[in-house]
Amino acid sequence: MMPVGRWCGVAAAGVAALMAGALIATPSQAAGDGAEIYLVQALPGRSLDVTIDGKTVAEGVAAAKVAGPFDVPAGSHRVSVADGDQVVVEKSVEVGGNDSSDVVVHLPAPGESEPVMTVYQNDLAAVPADKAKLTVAHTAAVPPADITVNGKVLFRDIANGEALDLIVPVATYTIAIVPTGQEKPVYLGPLTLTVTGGALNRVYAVGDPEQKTMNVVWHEIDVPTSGSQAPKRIDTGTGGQAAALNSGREPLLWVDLTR
Amino acid sequence: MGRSDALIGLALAALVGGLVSCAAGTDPAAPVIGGSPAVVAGERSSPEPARPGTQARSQVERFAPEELVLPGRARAPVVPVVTVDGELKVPTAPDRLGWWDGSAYVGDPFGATVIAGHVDSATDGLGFFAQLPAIEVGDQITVLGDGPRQRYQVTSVRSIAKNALAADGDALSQTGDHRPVLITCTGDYHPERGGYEQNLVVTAEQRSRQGSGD
Repeated sequence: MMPVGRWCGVAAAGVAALMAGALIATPSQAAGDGAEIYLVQALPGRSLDVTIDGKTVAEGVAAAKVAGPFDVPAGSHRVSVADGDQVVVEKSVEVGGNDSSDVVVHLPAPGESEPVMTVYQNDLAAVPADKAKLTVAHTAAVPPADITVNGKVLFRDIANGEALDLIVPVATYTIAIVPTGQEKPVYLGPLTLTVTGGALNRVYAVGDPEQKTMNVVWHEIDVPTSGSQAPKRIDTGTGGQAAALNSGREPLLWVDLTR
Repeated sequence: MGRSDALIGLALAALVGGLVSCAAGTDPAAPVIGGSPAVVAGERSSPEPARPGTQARSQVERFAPEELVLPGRARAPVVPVVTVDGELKVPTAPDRLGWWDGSAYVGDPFGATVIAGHVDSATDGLGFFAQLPAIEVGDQITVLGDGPRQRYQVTSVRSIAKNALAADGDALSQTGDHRPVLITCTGDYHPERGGYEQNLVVTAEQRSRQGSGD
């Protein structure tokens, strides 16, 4: 008999006594404290099986695909992606109650070799129904980059693992990814992206231009609605005193420097 | 402490991802209930944590307006206001301004940030925006949040018919470049026809990055 194994058994049983109450008494994540995980497969040329805490939750996830969401209890989880028998990345992911997270497996920045697992929290704050929260993340094998939207740099100097948020009106946008501060080479694009209103739109730049595998991956999560509709009238004067002050003035002129 | 307790304990410990670390190695004599290949594979310490995704430094912090400063340093508080039945519910007190809560925040790349206020009120006299007709193209205005601020330069001052406001391409639109749009009433006052018939629309544009403090 191995003392270490026995110690494991004894200690685990003690923990089990504590945990049994929590696990059995909350029959499902619908009880309110569970979390969800999306798995973004951003490793080009791979078809990967996804395992959470030893349980396979998705098989054969191709590159540039999003699997899930998977419901998990709050806490720490072992997330693993494997190519057949070979584990490609395995890391521990901590999630809080009611969290929504994107777990992304992706290429590292140039100069590093190991695939990376990066976890992004999904901010599910409300947006107006005719707007989109657009979060663009850099998970590609390129140096820090700018992302242009309709020709203008709207996301500046993002490095591998980083992300930037913008709230934009619903529209179709032309985007391109270039080295930060420069206009070429174009790592990816131009390509068009139509955002979904009333939702978090998660977009990932993925791949390696030297392998010709650059791509974007995206998915959307509905969020609550904030803000009221556009007014048809703005009535902002009930006394007439200002008119009395201004009577006799010249009519207002329209002078516009911008057009 | 029975053997069955130990078995349940090991299975639960595997499920919750290594609450108990048995880093010294496995016990080949300890059976595993429902064990996945990962459990018998060997190392039992938790894997390293995944990397947290972070925000790039260039992230612009967006904010809803809380105060407006006009040329001459006149200031007024701004509160969020809603549209009800097509009418923007601007604060009754004419010394307070309303920011339409469906319009752009300061820091958004597109859309009008609409701030409206009474030019006057039957009960409270002249409002903060009674001075708005005196504003000129090129004047500076500042929109403040709780801490951050953004300066703008006025690019147009227009008077349009109230019933043309909604169709105006610039005043309320949430597309086009980000711009603050200040709106009040102007022109002649005709109580028998409901009062003012014109909206004064002042548009400004951002010339530099926002600052904070000072």
